Amino acid sequence: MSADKTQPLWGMVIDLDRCTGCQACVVACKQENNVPFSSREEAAYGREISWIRVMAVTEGEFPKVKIRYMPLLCQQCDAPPCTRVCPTRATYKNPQGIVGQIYPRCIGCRYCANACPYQVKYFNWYNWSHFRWPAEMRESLNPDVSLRPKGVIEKCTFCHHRLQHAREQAAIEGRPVESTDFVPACVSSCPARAMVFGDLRDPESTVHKLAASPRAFRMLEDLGTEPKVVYLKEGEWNATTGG
Amino acid sequence: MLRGFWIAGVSLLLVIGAVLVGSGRERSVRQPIQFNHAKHKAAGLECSFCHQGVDGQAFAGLPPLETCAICHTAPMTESAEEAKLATLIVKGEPVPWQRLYGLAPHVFFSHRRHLQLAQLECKTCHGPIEDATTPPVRPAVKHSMKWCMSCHEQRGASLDCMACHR
Repeated sequence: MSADKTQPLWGMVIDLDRCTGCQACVVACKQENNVPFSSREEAAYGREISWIRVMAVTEGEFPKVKIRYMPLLCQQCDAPPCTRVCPTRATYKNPQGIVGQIYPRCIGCRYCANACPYQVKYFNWYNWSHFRWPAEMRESLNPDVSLRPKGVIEKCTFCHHRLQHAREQAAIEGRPVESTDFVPACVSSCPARAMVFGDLRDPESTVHKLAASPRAFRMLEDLGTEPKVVYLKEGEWNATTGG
Repeated sequence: MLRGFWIAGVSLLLVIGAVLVGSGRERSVRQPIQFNHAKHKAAGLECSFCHQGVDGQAFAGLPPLETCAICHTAPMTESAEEAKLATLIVKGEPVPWQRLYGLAPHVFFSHRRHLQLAQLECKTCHGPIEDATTPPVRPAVKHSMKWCMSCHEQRGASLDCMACHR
């Protein structure tokens, strides 16, 4: 667990029973974080950037086939393998347990991307600037998030800029930041309410309660990365019975 | 003879290099109107009267034409600079104010946070701008990361990289 126990420990719970794989979170994330566009050709090169993506896992064969959807984002590990290999401390875990990426420090060596067992760190191959962004969409660029330069690694930050605003607002109102003060863009866009966000350390928070559910599991948890994204297992579903 | 050419060539290159480096370092900013901060302060205006975002937003902002027009629709003085403003007001053209302080694209800075929460005075970061009688051509205070960090350390503000780097 994070060193500073007085700070909230931000975490997310994703209920796979509720997730319909609609990709709203993917779109919301790209819009919120100025994630550059991609084409079919670039995706074929493995250059597509998507801080959150919905993995479709197919099981069985026709006619007994089923697809499980699993939104995959940075797991915000409490023991992140990526930060240990960074030669410049461009990626590090901050006092709130959020794994950050400081783009001006990043030298693009991609050690972290290779160390990440979840493959959620993306290398930026293109020099996106305000002027190269499609003119129709320039006005919708989020000023709280930078356009990453070419040759750096980028990743999900749990919408850290939203946390900053929440913290600022809480400080002006003279109170500590609470579990309900902010949610990342993906969580706020989820129509099925499959994603819940909050302070894992607060025993009253929904995430804390859900994370204690018997359905809860963390992805590749045997690696000891201690992810702060918790998944709730799907109930058993059988294609032959349909229920 | 050949050696003389060599020395002349190398020194010429050094001079060109020095000029290039020197010109890139400090960019002087010329404002379209020789604005007098001190006079406006003496008239009893708060900084936030013209820099409207300073209390509640990330960017302080430069005054739009409407703000100037509140007082300057009819000339208040004989000043030639004010006459320039009056012409713009008649034409309805915004004043092409030039930004003096640039912000690196990877840095997030919020005026609101520094004024409302830290209760800093403008001059802590902008020098004695309120007493300036002409617009400064270059920033009074150089905002380097080291400079930001030393203040953050002294005042116990956040030293987390992500607090400022976006």
